[in-house]
Amino acid sequence: MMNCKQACILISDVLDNKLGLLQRAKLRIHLMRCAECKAYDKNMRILRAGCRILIVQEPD
Amino acid sequence: MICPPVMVAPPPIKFPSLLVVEDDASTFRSDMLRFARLQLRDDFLAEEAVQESLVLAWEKRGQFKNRSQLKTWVFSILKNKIIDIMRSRARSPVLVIDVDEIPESAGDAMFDEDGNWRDDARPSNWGDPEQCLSDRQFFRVLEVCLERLPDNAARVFMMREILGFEVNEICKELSISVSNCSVILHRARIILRMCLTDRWFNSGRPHDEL
Repeated sequence: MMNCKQACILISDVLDNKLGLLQRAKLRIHLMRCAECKAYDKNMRILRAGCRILIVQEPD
Repeated sequence: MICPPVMVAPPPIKFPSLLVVEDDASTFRSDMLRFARLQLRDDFLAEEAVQESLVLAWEKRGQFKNRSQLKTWVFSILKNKIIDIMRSRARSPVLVIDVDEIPESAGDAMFDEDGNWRDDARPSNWGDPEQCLSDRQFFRVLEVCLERLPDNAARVFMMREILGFEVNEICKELSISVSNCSVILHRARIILRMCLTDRWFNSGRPHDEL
């Protein structure tokens, strides 16, 4: 069984397109059962989206 | 024979473009410098990159219909300049990327010995992504957090997430292995998430409970 520490490494690997189908499926199952890792995954996606648009933010 | 529909381009909008670019360039300048410094971590190189980008922008100043288009374009020039500088710097032999610049323990503290979340490290639900990304404070804090990353971790992370390099390109440019690159990215993400959680999410912003 995958633990949360391992899941977080895979969450990062998904962002870098490094994960095969089987590991992706295993991660998905973990995320369905684990609210914390799901929140972590969501935070990572917000971090990514934030970085992508950081430069076009208007100044204050 | 079927004739293709005739596309008529709308007439270009004419600005008194000299003035527009000059005004905007000076307002963008400080943003550009901040952005370049953040990524290059070198004031002199940042200044040079911004200067060169503005010169290029000036040469093509007639092409823009509005300010936001101009800004996006000027920043894309700057981005390319930064990529050039990073590439030439990566080739210099003085750059050694240490994978342990962010130690493994930074992430370990979040988990117990079985690899499950510790109570005090459980990730919070930041809420709706769109709402987060419409919060100016999020971006202010993100910049602060990026500045606080150790230099090489910042370089790798920003190449990936801001400049849009693929991992194998980063490895090639910086002469590091794919697994080291992944470790650096993973640890940088951990640090950034913690920093954003502390300084943005937990700092009085209204939010949903997990």
